[in-house]
Amino acid sequence: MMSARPTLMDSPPQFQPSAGGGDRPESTDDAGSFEPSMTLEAARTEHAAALTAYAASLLRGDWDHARDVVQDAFVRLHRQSERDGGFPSPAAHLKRWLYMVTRNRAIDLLRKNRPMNASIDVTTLSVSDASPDPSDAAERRDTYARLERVLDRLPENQREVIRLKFQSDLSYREIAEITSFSIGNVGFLLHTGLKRLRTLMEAAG
Amino acid sequence: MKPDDLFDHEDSTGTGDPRLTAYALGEMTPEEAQAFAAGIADNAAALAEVAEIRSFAEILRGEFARELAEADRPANVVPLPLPGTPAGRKVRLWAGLVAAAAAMLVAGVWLRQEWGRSTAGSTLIAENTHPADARRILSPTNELSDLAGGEISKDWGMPLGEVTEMSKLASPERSSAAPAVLSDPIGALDAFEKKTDSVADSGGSGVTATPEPLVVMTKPAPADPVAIARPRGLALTSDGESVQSAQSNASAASLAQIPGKVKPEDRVLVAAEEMRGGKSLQTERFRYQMPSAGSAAPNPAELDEAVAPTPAAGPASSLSVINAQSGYIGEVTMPLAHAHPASPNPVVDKAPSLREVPVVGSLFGKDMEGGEANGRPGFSTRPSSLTPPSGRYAPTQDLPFQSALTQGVSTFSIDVDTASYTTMRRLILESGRLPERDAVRVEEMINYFRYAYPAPDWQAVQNEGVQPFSLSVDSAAAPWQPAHRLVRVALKGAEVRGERPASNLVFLIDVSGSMQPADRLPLLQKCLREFAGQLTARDRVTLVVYAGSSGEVLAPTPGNDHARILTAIDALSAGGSTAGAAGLQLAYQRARETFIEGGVNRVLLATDGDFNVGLSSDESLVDLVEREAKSGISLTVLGVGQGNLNDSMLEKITNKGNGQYHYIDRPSEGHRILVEQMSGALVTIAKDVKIQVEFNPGRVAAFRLIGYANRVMPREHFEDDTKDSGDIGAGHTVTAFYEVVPVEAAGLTANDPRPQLEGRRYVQPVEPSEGLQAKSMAENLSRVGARLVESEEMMTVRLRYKQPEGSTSRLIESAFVDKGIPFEQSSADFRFAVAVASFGMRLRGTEFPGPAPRPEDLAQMVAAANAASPGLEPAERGRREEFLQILQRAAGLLPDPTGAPPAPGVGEDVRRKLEELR
Repeated sequence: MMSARPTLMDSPPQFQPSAGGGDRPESTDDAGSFEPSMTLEAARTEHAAALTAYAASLLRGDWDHARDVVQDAFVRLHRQSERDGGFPSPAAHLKRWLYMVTRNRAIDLLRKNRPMNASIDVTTLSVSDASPDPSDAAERRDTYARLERVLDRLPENQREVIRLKFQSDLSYREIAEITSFSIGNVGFLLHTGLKRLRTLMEAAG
Repeated sequence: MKPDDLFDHEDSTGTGDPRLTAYALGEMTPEEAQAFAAGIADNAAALAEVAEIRSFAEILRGEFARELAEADRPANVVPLPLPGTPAGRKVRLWAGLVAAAAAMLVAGVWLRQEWGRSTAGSTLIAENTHPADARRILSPTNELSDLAGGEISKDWGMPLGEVTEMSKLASPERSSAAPAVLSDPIGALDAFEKKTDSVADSGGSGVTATPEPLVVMTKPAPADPVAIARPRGLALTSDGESVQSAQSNASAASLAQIPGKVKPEDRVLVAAEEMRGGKSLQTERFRYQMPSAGSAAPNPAELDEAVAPTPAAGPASSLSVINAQSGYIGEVTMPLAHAHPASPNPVVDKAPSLREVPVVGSLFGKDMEGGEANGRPGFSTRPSSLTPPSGRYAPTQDLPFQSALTQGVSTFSIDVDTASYTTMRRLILESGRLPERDAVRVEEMINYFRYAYPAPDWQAVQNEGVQPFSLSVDSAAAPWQPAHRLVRVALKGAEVRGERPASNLVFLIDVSGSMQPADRLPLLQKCLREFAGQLTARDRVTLVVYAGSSGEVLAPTPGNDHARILTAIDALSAGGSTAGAAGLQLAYQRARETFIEGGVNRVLLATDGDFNVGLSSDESLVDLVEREAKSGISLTVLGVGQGNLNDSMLEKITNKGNGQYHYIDRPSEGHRILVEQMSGALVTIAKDVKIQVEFNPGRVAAFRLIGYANRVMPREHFEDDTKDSGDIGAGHTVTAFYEVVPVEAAGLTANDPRPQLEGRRYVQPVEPSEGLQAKSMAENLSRVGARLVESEEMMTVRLRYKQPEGSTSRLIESAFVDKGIPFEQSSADFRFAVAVASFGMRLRGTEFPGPAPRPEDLAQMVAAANAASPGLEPAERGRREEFLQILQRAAGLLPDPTGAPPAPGVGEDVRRKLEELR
């Protein structure tokens, strides 16, 4: 029987290691190899920062939850790797897997906490007790404020795709697989988003 | 490729082609890139654009990289003190935060089922777990939605100890800095209020001396029902001794204080295992089941006396619990524990008090009115469109209206599952609640009922290879929009006559502790007994169970040895945890050993939840099931119980397993599936059945398929025999509805349509004509090189199926001409099925192009149809009458349809929609 579902999120995403290597591997259903030698720490070092930024962007600036989400993803990776005897290989598959899991969870979180976003800003609550050094925050705000500010003015999908492409260095195909947009759509979003971003950033100075 | 193509989008700069970006970013294949480069070689604007894109991309990358570098600094994180030595394991926090967080923590003390190995039990104290981590992990974000009857997304919860390890790995710089994350609005509100209170009380320091409770998990010894039944919400110290004494203090007496009594099988305590030395964790989920509506309410005075916290215990925390059975919201108040190791009695002896709170306000919506009873935000049972998704059900999107011209071919897989109907029935009739949107599959509701379609003759099918099912297509006006047509595509499988094929059946039964309630294992036993009575000497039955350990309880036995079979069924008892080695593998193994060539070979899995059949990952399970199905052993799932069923997983594996997914909520349902429709459940008469409908754009402007939302497939899959699809069992009926907008109703003229021309029956290619101002559809079509084929037919229905043992599909094709019958003149079955479909659509919040039918209207429709169906079998009649009851109950639950009033001109809405489609 068939179970073709045009769903936004399949949970859990499948490991799809492919035998081939290469920079932009085709996603295939071949049974692949697993890399026992790859360590979780290495995976974390490579991907955690960008994943967190991505999750925070999906969660509309909620870095705390974003960190949780990414942590969850690595926990799952760890557990799955124990069962499978290693991590998915090649590295591109591991990356894609991590992004899909992160995205799914972030979206889960969004769906379930939609009212929260509307009512209380939790991050304010947690931060207000022991405030970080204010000058630190101000400085940070300035430095990537420009990017953040203009990014925020893009439609959600364009923002997401741009981040995946230029922060996480994923190919159109990988982005399509992670987000479930079609490749054509990804191309269109990127093209349109980039143009708009250019205009906005030039205007912002 | 002409350079001009780059500029055919309405874009003032003329650089609207996404291929420019794709090329600039190196996303094209070498061949594509070469061709593209050649194409723009003499296009200065394009070349400039490419250069700009590339340089901007570099800037972007730099900006993003800088963002990453800065984000790594944990500057916006609240540092919290580390837990200290065992003796000093107290952490100071705001009282309010502690209260709320502990409340949620304690309310949410359940963890996800692990597909794990089961290892020997041991008592784990959650050592070295930062309280913030613990809180964060154990207060899953949707804990309240779970209490509402949903279930946490399987992937969200995490076992405690493992995350300890992970948190060390994952964020070494964070080991001392973890913000207290609150994940629910009500808790946050509480915390905020209490924080302001406590700040005011304690003179602004915001910190009190209330110790931070840690939650302790212990793995109950299997033979210790009391430990299993420890009331939820205990906050104990992490000191080993206190825990031990606490355990022994959790006596039956304290349990008795809990209204309604927590039954041992409720399994309210979560078990976690130590993760040391490479041993994996074993975790379990549990729910706290409150007393059902019928039990006597406790005397508040007595209770309060019994559980009044001593002043030294500090503030009490309250958390809200939603009763899955009766839908009440109750409140559990609990004092916090002392963290002092010398404390004589942690409040484990004090059972939670229970107060029923009236339901007001919205649990998850934006408006949270205060509850009168306690001045806190309350909750409400809002209608289904606002029932939050629980994560258990695979999200599906209803199919929208599609243009018959540009997307005129619809292909989908048939389905004979019925679980969605029984789940919905149970929720509405027994709990007075509406199911969440994704739990409703309209096709399963329609297919729950048996319709009087003509059936082919069994002998002819067996002997002459005649098509094993009949196909009929009917239409009538849509009751909600008379200008629209409803077209019904109906299949009916041949009924088995004479001897049913020999059956080799392995029942794989979940006998974990959670299966003890009467609506689970005992119900299954009852159904199995009945079923066993139908078996004969030619059949083989095996019973395999899985729980703490799995094993065979009945060796393969001839079907007529009823005594032995019944004895084995009677001996089934629930207990132990849902863990297990190789339950499913064992079942398949047995089935393989007693395989009957040319017969029915099936594993029937009976479970109440996140069944843990000993396989190591979700993926392996699906692979195993699919592999076995391909070599002749199919898998059917019988779901029981409420609250734990992993609906999307179970549906998925029965799809892959060439079996069916049914939900049994009562003996009559078991009877329906296993006895009444036994041959349907067992005997597959056609495999991989796919339906494809092609609409004639000359007659049809738009259409939408009702239901089957997760069964549609791309057009090419219809011809592709390697693509799996649904199977039909003997006697099964399959019904699908299309809502069709005829061209007259839409009043549209096409604006630059781009139909797919390949292999279309009603639209064919011609030489394109020039013309700037096309006025009619014909002219427009001609401009793009197409023309309509004149035909009376509204659509053509094609069907592909394989013989049960075959691998090549056969094709049936049938054209349909609409006769324009009004709704009232359609058959009783037709009208009944439409009523069921409409109800399903209402439950899902589907939009109607007209006034949405109210349950009262549907009830009238159903009553009329039932009256006009004298020939119904008693069981079927009973089910249809029951559907009336469901409608009546639902009338009080569904909101008034909020759709726009019907447009004055028929087709206005549709026209707008179709415009959007372009």
